[in-house]
Amino acid sequence: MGKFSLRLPALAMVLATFAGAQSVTSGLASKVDSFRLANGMRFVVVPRNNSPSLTIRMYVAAGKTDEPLGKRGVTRLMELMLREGPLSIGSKDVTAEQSAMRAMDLSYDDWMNARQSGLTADRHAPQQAEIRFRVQKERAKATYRAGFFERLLEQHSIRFSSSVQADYSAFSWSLPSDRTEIWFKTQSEWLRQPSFRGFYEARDKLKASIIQELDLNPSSRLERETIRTVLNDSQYTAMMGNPEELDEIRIADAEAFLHSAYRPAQISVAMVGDIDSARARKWADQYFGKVPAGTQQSAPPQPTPSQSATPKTLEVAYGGPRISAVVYPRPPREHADDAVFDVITLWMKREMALARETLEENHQTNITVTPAQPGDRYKTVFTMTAPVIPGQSFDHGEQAIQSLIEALGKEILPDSTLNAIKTQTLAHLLERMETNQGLADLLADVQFRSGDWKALDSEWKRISQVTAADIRRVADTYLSDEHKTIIRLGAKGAGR
Amino acid sequence: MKGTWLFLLLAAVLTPQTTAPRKAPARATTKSAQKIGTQKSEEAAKKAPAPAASVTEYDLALKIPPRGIVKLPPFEQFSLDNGLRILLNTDHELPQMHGTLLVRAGRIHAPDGMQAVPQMVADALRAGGTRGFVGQKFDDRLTELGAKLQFDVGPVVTTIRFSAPSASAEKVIELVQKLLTEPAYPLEAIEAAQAHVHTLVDRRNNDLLQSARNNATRPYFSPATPFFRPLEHEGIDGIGREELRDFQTSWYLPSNAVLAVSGDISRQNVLTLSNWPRGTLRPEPKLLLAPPKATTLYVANLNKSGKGAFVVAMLAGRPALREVAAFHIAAELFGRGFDTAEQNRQSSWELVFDNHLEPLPTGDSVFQIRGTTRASTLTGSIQIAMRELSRLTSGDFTNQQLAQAKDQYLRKLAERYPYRKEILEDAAQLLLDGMKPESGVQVWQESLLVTKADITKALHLLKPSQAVVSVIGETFGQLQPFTDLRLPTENIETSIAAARPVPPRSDAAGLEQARRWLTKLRGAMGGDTKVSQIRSFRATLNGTVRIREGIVPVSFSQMWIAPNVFRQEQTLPSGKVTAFYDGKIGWLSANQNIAALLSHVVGQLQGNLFRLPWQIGLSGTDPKITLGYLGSGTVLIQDDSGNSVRAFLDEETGLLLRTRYTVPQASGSPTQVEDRFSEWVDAGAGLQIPTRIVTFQGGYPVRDLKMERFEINGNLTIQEIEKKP
Repeated sequence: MGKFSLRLPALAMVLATFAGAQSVTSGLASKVDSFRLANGMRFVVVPRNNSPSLTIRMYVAAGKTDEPLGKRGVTRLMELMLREGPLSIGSKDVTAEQSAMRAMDLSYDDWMNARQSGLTADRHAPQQAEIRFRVQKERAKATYRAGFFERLLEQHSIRFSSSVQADYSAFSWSLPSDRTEIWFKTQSEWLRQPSFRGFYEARDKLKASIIQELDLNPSSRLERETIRTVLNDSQYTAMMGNPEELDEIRIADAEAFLHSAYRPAQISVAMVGDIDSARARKWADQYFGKVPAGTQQSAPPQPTPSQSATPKTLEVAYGGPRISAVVYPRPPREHADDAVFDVITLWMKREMALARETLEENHQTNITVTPAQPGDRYKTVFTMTAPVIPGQSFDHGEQAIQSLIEALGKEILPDSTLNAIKTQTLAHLLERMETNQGLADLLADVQFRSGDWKALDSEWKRISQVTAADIRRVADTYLSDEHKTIIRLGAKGAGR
Repeated sequence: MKGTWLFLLLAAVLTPQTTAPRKAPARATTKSAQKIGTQKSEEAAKKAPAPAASVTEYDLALKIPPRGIVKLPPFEQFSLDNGLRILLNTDHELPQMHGTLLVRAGRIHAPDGMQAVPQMVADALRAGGTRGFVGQKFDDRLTELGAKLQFDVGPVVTTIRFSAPSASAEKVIELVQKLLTEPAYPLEAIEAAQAHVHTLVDRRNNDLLQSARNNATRPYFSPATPFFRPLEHEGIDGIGREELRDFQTSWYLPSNAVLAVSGDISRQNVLTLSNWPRGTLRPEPKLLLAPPKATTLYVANLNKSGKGAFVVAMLAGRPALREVAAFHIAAELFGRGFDTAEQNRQSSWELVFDNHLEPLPTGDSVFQIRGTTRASTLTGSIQIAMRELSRLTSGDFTNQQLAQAKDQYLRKLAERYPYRKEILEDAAQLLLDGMKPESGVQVWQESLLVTKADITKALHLLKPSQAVVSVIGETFGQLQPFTDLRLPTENIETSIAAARPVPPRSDAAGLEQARRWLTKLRGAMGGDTKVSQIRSFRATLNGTVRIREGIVPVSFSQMWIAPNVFRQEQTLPSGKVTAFYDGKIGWLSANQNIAALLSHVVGQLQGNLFRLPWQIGLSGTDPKITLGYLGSGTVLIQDDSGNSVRAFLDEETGLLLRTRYTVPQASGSPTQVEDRFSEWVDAGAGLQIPTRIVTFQGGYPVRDLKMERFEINGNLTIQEIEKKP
């Protein structure tokens, strides 16, 4: 015995009793206050008053998939601009700063036009235009205090983090509760009138960073190759722009994107900690209520699927570590089978932990399983990756992955195993809900996706109701050889 | 001013010249950071010319409320019949529960000469499980219940934290109770505990600030007190089950513990702990303060990439609640009054303060000014710290600085106690110390009221004439010599002595048993004559090994000629490594390079030879080998070169089941390893040898080898063995 197997050592002798689909939110219900402003912005507030601190999580329904054509990267730019704060804070002269930003855009346009004119009239024109642009940048810098907003937040012990994903952008703040009104004021002002300090510098740095990521970061590169080949009929093709598109983004473009993609109806906020619901409502109305409803951006273009068949094996040359990846297309999160993929992922992780007890060759216990990549709003993929061992070929990791898949399809999962997985899932979920950060994250996520924070319960219940038969069915339907694509990152001799 | 005498007394010994207390630096700090009560419209703010350049002066036009304070959650306090005190906070927000059991079974309770015992008890309990669920089964049971359990050993208290979904609460509490009353203490868990403590010893210098703190606390106790003596390797391996049980039954008792439990849980759920017997509690060890007669500098030389740490510790007696609060705020005041030159120095020296009022087990407190800095600036950093202390003691700080310090302290408090369970744990700790559970929160509430006068009053409680100054770091290359501090100096040894091998406990009867078992092994292998006539051996072994990236195929070729000529070739997908050793010298070849054997590799090869199965059998006849019998067919075998192995023999057949030993490493503690033998075959003429060897580390297999070909007493020559690739 050494292959992955559906046994639970010793534990199989003990019938694990599972609590069943118990509610994880019934105790919260009396505390939670959720409301929606007239402009569509949604809030969920959970008072936890033992400690004078607050966590705020803001979800914006604008991820990399929502970027306008030809302007890829703008969501990540918005993430950077949020750190610069609103126009009203840190400016030496608001009117002068606004003019300087507009002048910068115009000057940038001149420069780009001069470059595109080529060698026609004046061959020094591009160089001169670039100098004028740089001068304009310096003039703009003189109208504000760089980094002022970040220092102000630091002064008030307000910590901030952010991330931009395929389906959404998420922002988190952790602050002393007596600074809550500062958050309401400054963030609402940013939505109304952001500053774009250091825009062009940030944009250039972002472009360099994306290029490097694509070349060296296996996750970024895998994501790209997956979309190009396996998900070419999915909305995720909207993420397939080139880093050079960043050169086309002006401040005016970013501003326009903000007012459409970051309009209040696209935003969901969860606040957990030392907060009074009534005051939260009052401030939400007082500050965020002033943010205009904005205009809906046009729907992203429907993807045009590639005519060529999805390759079975794709070899990709790139500069990072060698990775074997096996991907299977799967439906989005709203599909009934979504929970089954989560349970399969947990089972696989568990099997790898158990596999530490054997040394069967072709066992690899460092396989990474991702149930949905790059996101789960649209048709997506179930991904398994394994690093290539020095001296070994790509086959080695692929065989290890295959062993795991085969084990899943071979036998029906015993109830004891399934119950143990569900118990662990519940324990992890409760651990997350216990922390302000974890609960805010979960509530903002659920509220954002379904419009109702109570859906957190139904999401958990979906997992708790997964049966062994469901797992077998999903494995047979989706995780079969006919649907699989192998992507070998770092394969020698492969074209880019 | 009162503060001046303190400064002069301390400064006279720490600096070559005395300076008058400084005035507050001339900076624009007259306005408060937030104009409380000022209301301006947003439009007016936008139109106002020249907005404030400094973030501290920026007017957000908001009324900032007073900083909130951590609150003690409502709880019920009661005791069980066995004396266990319980603080119970029921909250049904989530179907989850947390428990913290605090037991007065810390490092100060260690038996004389066995400082490792408290840590080993905690480790062995956690890893060993209960009689009903031993070792891995205990972990599996916790997993099944969705529970977590961890132990932390402190100077005075061992903290056992557990959590689980509330549906499992009662079962988890029962498991904890069983752990306390029916611990399994399997040998594997005890040996793993020994290995862990050895690792802690190896790492004891890793945290410079912690080391400096320990060095600054130790001198307050007499040398006869084991408290805060550094843990050493010596003696750890001699600690066995008996010592661990004795410690547990003496200190892990309900009357010596407090349980804080919170979440979706009721009184009923915790009643199972009534089954924890009262036992007989030992008297608390007597710890008497014996402060130094004069301020002394303790210097520990340690090269840590140019980093250094220092602590200036001063006894603060037994301060009242307001004074405790004042000390906490004073700790945060440090550095707020630095002028530009000092700020620059602080920045270039990477000086970071981490001051604290520390409780001692005697009930006294000691105020520690402590920090990390560049090693070359230790003297200067201490001088800065002492000037700052003098300044604060004389009240030379502004109300704004005081407000900022309070703000910072309260912010840190909120971070340290984010949730009920941490706050309740703190209350339980106070109860265990004989104080009211609410007193912690009272200190926090007092901190809101602390005034300048409170700070100076508290700082005047300090006894600078009995200060302990401790520094650690590379003490050469100081910008200013330590002699500038003009203090009597003692050097502290930082090197970590290796342990001597522990001789097995063997009386004549035990020795006889050991010899009898080894005779049985030789008999099972084919008899004394056949085993003693093995003069050479050649084998090829194939299998798999776990490396960082995964499991890969591996093959070994081994050759041996008695007594000590040995060659091993290991082939992995990444290449081949060959080692040769003739009992005195050897070489290692890899990637076309050949180099002399490093000492730890020599140790490894010597160990391999020592543990050849027939050598283990023959050790029963070698007078130079020390034997001990450990029961159940387990024999301890040691030679005078430091080689040691535990051989576990099958109680029926006498064949070797497994061996347990340590493998020396290039740095750090040796690695604990276990080889398991199986698939014994006839090697010819009735000689039995094992052909399958699975190697374990940390409880998991790391190598599985099968002997494919072998030859005993063949035509192997020394020339063949020593031939270089």
